Amino acid sequence: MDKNIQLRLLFMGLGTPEVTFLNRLIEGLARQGVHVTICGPNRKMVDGFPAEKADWLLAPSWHGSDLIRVWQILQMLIRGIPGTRCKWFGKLFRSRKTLSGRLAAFHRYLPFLRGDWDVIYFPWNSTAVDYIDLFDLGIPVVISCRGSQINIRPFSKGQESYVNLLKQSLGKAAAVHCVSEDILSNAVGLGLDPEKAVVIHPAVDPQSFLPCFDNSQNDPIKLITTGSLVWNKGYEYLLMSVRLLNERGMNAELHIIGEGAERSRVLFTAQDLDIASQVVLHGKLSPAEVIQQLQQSDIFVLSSLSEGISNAVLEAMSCGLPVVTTDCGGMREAVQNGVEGFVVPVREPEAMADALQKLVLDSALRKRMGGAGRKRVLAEFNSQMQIEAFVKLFESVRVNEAN
Amino acid sequence: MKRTEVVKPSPSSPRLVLVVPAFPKLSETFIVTKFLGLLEHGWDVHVVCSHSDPKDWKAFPHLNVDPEIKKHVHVTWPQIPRWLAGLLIIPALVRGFARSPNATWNYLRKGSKRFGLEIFRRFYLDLELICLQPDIIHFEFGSLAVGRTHLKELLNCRISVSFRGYDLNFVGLDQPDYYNEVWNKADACHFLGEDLWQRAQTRGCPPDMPYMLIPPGVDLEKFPRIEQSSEEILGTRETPLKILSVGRLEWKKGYEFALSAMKILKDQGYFFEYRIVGEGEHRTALEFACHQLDIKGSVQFLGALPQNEVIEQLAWADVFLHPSISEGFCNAVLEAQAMGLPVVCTDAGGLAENVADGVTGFVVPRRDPKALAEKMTLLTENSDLRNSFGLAGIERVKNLFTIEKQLDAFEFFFQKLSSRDNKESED
Repeated sequence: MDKNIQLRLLFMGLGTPEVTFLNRLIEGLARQGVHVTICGPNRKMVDGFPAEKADWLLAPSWHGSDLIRVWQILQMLIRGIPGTRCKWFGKLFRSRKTLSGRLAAFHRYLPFLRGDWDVIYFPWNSTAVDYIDLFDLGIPVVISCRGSQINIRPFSKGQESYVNLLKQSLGKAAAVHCVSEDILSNAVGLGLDPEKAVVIHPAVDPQSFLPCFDNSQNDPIKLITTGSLVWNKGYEYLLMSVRLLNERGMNAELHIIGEGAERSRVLFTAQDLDIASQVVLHGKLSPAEVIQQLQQSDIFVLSSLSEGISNAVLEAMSCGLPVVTTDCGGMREAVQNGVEGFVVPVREPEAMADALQKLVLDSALRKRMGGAGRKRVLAEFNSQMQIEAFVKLFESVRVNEAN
Repeated sequence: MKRTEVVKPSPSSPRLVLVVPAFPKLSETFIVTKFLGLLEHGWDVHVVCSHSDPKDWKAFPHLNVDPEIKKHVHVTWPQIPRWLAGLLIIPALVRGFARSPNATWNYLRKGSKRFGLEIFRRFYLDLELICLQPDIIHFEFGSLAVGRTHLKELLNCRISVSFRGYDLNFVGLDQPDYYNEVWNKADACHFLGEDLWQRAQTRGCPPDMPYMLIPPGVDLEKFPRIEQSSEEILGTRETPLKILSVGRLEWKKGYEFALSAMKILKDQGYFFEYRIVGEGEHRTALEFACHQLDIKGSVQFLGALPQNEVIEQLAWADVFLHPSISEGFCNAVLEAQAMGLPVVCTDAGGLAENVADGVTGFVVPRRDPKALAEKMTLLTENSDLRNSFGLAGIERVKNLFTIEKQLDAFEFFFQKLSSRDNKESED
């Protein structure tokens, strides 16, 4: 119960690509005095993050050359041998029936033989599933439920064992963080006990995402969206909306920031709908460039089919942009229909075009809704508040376990 | 396709080489059919491919009837690993000079002027073609011809190209001059339909390019007529409408819009069973759509199926649905018509030429779930309409899209190409 003792957090950001919001979370936690140990395959993971602020625990991936692998295992052995978790290690080793299973378990859990942490934190469900045996270490575990791993993956073919382990991990966790009320209710459907669930909305730093300059002279009106070019972002429907705006004589162009597997789908659809000249694909941009683009835009639009809750929308609101978003995941928790923007049904390009049209035609409305969005972010989606809520969450499981 | 014997070509008949990525391939049965047909009709036809899997040969009993056939299929030498290809250049030169010294010499002589040392790499890749000394090289997909048009001068032959859909609809979309060398060098082009010919012109093909539209053909013996359900009204709890789609699970097949259409049917109180044959990377997206639209119970994903099981599914169905966004011409829709199924499809690519709107089925705008749903409800309520569409479909395929017709057209295409060849060399 001693708040003066520094909280030691093991951050299982393993194997995930570099994600800006996780970097910001780690940075914020470190600033709040939490001692963070980042577990990952290499130090490159958190790019631009001052490495001296966190410890590193090397957990190499199995891919790579044999020679490097042997060297890494030796390293882990030397580091881990004096550890005190041999009983746990032996048990999980014996629980695997096949040789290859044992080898994999040996390689996977070797890094965790030694090390003192108060809380283990999994920012992704899939990592918690991969490292399910860490739940038996006797250290309280916190998991984040963010999006597709709760909303999409469990409904796909051949995911029975994932769902099974997902349920186990949610059951064993000391606390579960959900990014929205919506994802909380979906996770409850997967067996999560609502008693130990906490909703902490994502947040932005309103000091970096500053409102835009005066764009009321923009012609054509600049619509912007950010997000990987993948199916769950629903870009085909968005392009259909832009086409409808075109047919109705609106002068608008769409800027898409992001890269991904469905680039050719976006290109083809824009050409097929004869709006290629009004669609700009920017590819992946740096956070600073994203802010710049947002500040030059008039309306933010999100056409997703599924979301936890979109960080991109919060960033746009912070920049004072009005938002048109589909009604998926927790988007209603961020945008109230008619206040900070409009909420329209998924897969309905006409409804989205109607909402966009209202904003395109009315610069005063854009200004009003944009202002409301900025206000909302300052009051409810402020990164300072978010970090404090996370610290509180981690402290609470530590305290609980101590009792 | 019963006989499949190699008829010895007359010495004067031109040598035709078909270039494909892999041979034989189940998904490209039409190339096997064309190859065998030309062989039977006495053409000196060869296939050059970069992969040929013995397992795939087993799937085509016709190919194994006559051992001569195999001698007409040539696999190019390995390109990976690169060091191996580098080592093999010497044996490749030996083979070239041993098999066809003149052609090899001319290729290297003319080529080195144009490409310098780079010609050895090209020689290695073109070795099989050089040895065959073709009169006509035919690329079975547009994208295969890109980077290979130098063969025309170096081998002093004609080149022609088939455009089948993906090549014009997707490949090199963000490079405006991607096909320029093909438009400049090709002696003739083949398109599956008018839509692709138009598309080729928007991508730079000159309007005076000699071309032929040859649609795909269906083997009517393989796709026999089926009896339609005698129920007057379908779509009720007792007699749900049985809807079938066949095609890879890719976004360009437009299944998401079909599923939205199913949602509309469901909300209007219709009962249906929707089966989709095919596999692909878009499966997760489609399964999620079923979940989101709350139609999971009425939709089944059957995965990829062999042809005989596809035919069973066609026999099961009342309606064939093809919601595509992008299409070349589409064999699956032809096969459904051949079996007498009414079709509801979009106007993507050549589909409007494939299905006669209001005669063998309905053609609606792409990305329009409401239109798809509306046409399907029309079919649920009218057995006469279903029957007349089905019969008209069979007639349409018989009259326009048979394998025999397709083969005749290709023979005409290649004859014309080679006769132009003779004429010019006489000049």
